Amino acid sequence: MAEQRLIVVGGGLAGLMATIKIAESGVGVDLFSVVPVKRSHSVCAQGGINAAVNLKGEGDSPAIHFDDTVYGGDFLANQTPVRNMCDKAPEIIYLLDRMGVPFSRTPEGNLDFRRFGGTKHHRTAYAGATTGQQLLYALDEQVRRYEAEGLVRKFENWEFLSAVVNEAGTCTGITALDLLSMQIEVFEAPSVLLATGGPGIVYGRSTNSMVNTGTAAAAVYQQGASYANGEFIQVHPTAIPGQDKLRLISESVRGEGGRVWTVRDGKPWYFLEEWYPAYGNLVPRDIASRAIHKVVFEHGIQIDDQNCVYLDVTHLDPDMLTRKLGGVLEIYEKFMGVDPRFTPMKVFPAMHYSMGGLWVDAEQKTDIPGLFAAGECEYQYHGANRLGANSLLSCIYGGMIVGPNMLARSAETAGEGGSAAADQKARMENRFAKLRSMDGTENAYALWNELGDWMTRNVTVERHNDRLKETDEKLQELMERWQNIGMTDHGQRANQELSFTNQLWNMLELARVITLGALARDESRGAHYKPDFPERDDENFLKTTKATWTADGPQLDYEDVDTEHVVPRARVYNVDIR
Amino acid sequence: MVDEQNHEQNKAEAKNIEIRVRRQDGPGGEASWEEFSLPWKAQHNVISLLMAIQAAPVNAAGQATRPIVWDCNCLEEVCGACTMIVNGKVRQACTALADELEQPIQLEPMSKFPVVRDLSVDRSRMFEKLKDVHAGVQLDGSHDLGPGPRQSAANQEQTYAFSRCMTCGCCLEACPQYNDDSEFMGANALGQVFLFNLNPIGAVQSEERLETIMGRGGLSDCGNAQNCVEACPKDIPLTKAIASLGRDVTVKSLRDLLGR
Amino acid sequence: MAMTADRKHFLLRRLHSLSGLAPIGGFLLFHFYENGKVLQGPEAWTESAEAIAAIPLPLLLSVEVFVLYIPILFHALYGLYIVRTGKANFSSYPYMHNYFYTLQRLSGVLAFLFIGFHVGSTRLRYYFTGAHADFEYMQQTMANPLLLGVYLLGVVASVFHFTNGVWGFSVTWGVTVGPRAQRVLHAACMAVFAGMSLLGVNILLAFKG
Repeated sequence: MAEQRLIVVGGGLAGLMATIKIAESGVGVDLFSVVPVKRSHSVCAQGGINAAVNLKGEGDSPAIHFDDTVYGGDFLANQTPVRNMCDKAPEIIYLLDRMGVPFSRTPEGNLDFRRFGGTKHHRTAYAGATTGQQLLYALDEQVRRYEAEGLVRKFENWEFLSAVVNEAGTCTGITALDLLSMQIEVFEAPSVLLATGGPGIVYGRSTNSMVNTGTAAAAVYQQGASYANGEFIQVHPTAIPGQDKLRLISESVRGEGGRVWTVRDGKPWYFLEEWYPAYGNLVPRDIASRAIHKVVFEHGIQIDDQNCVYLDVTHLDPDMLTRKLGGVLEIYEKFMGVDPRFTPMKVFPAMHYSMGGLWVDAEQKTDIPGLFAAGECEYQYHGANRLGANSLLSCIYGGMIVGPNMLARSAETAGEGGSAAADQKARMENRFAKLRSMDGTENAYALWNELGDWMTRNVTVERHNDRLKETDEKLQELMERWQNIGMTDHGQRANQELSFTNQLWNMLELARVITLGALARDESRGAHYKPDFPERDDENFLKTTKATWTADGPQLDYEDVDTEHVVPRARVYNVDIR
Repeated sequence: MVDEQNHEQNKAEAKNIEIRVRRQDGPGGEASWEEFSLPWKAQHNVISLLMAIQAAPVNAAGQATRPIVWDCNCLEEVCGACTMIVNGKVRQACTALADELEQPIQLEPMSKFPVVRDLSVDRSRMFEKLKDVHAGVQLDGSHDLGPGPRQSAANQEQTYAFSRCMTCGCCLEACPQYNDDSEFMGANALGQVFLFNLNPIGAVQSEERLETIMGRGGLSDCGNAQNCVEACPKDIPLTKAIASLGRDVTVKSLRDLLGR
Repeated sequence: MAMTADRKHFLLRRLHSLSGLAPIGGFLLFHFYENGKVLQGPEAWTESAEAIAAIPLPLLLSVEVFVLYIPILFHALYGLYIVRTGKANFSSYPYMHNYFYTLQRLSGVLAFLFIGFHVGSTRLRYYFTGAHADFEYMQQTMANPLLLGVYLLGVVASVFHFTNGVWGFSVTWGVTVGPRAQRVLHAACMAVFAGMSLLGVNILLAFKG
């Protein structure tokens, strides 16, 4: 019997968990990642992972966790998959515990849980200030063992280019680019998983890692997979603006008494406290983000010519700050070279997470048979807004169920590749040959900067239909100008400009999905806020947006949401959910 | 203080940031230096400078050149990717703030690993070593077996410190014993052995793990220069791990000897 | 397991570390004690030297060969191999223990050269010519500024290599594990280094008279 191998693309939490599940059953996995898997974006998650283990005697349960999640997501998530995820969460925490994740402990030696936004329970297990890193390493170690046994073959520094789709429309493999030799190869497998993360880099600078271009999801979207709820982008209110990246400053800083202000007419202006006297600096993420945007863009107030406001803890006792917020404040000091205990921090909202992603069913199947998706690159667990500490859970849960589903599919049918593999490889080689010979006047990175500026300005916290239309026109202009890119690197080896130019096209395709999805959704729901349509409109928009690729741009369809378990109710912001 | 002065000075007069990059087209290729000059901006770090060069690849002499190749990902000093030699010292480029660096800012690839291109190097040797030393807990399976053993907060804190190792390679780059003439595995792998021997479940395989560091290139090849602990960006107490493992293998070899 | 063959490497390293402490280090201390008598006057020293010379030759020679020459040769030659596997880098990484890393290797090489010269000009000279390295001979040696310089450098290097080596031994064998314990021991070793160096210099100068 020929050795059967499945393909997993992406070495973050979702990809590694799926790999473990598949390898555990004795089936080989070819694992592709653009970076060594230990450097995947999952390392960035700080806060923790939710599971209603109820170790604090608060009467917490998976049912309450489920309710908090769909409520936080403004009822846009299909409820059954969310319910299954929340049910499985305690088991996942125990598994991670057994894998050696150094979760923080109580004096009795039990797992410790902290409170997070959107819940009244201590439900978030955490490992210091680097929970994502700790989880990723634990899964990486398990996968490394299977790698040593020969079950897993890692293709690190390989980039997914496209699915191989045969005449019947079934996925039978992938094409991938070796980022060192720049050679394109084709790999065949009866089922393929994309666990390729979110599209933060579409926004230029975000809290995301550099690999989060969304290029893989965008590539299969162009091959017929639909992309769901793209317009739902979570923005975190307090990030450190940087020239290269926007780094997160935890909400706990405001929780401990940090104040947000800016300078108006030469005087401090505590605008959150003025506008929201009841909750002041502790308004929820989306409200804080909107307020800061308003101050900077509508009132036109900058600090030192930068789009930012102050997050100030200088009035608080430095010893208390060191004790309670040491880890967080250290990040600021490290990257800004300034001690925030004595100088106010400069912060600005930043694109943080995409609730939207590839459309999948409850088994993580995309609408290309044989092609699965899990993790941030799919849409299914967070609705219109993600609760803090649910992302790590959804990644691991997605990976956990997709593995067996992939095995089941492989057992029942294996798509016949025919000439599809060779054809697709030839198509990709042609595409890259064309990219190599581009000799126009535009620079791919400069175009990307423009893309990021436009998306950040118009398609984040506040959406206006006129600006969204303008942005889509701009995107089409950028697509025109993309054709006129001139390659400056003609090297045959590790040519990053070449792969980036390819990714940039995919980012532009995805940017249109996000922008047009936002334009069409005339309501406000979760992270999607339109001042002209400030209310949630369940009648027209309690629906999943499904974008499918056409040559003339994304075609949007709407699909009903599964509300089997709880009846949607108003999501009220003016209560202190902390 | 010096940093602050530099900062003010850079702001006040030097409107440009000067950079020298050691460039190399491939593993065997000739290396050469190229200079760049970029307008000063607040909050520039080495990454954002390299990004600015990408978007307009022109060197200090005004000649068009190709963008610089380097590795990076998280830009928060948790992924370990952007490790390079900045002004002679190994560190992450993302936390190398332009205003705090002496100019010209000199960038070189790590010297202990094969160069891929320009500042990008191949550190796969480090990941291979993690296999050799059995870095990890050996699970019976990922099915539900209930919670793991209890663990004291003190034990958790100790393991957590080592679990933050991002395999960046600073400890190896700075180690005089880690080079082409020696097979020394370096502090990173030893730290992971220490970590998993300390973990309540990992401890089950501790003998096996100790065995892996008692060979050629193992623990005994450490020269006690202790640069690893100085170079580690995460302040991991690597020398403590090394000495503690030294004790463990001392005990183990005596036990092996007398128990035979 | 494939590792067992590799165990030899580990044992050699440990033997190298151990041999520096005992017998070599132990002998160094004895040698200091023995020659320290010169501080009480030439007679006291001569008396002690003659007592050792009175030991029957076969016994003395075998002690010298098996307790001293072989361990020292092993320690030195294996040490030279270890030196070859390292690449000093204190200019890029100017940390205290990194300087000591290099100094340990440098002092080891110097000590080896010095010990070779010292043994040759005292014990081997006796075996080949029958002439004892008596007080007069030592006095003449120290009267020569060049030789005095060689002795001063050699003694200080040997003492440094030994005292700093004690610190290295304690880390290698896991006696001092924590950074604080290592710091305290290092300070103590350096204090002993200073004391022994001072003593050594005094002894040498006492020969000079």
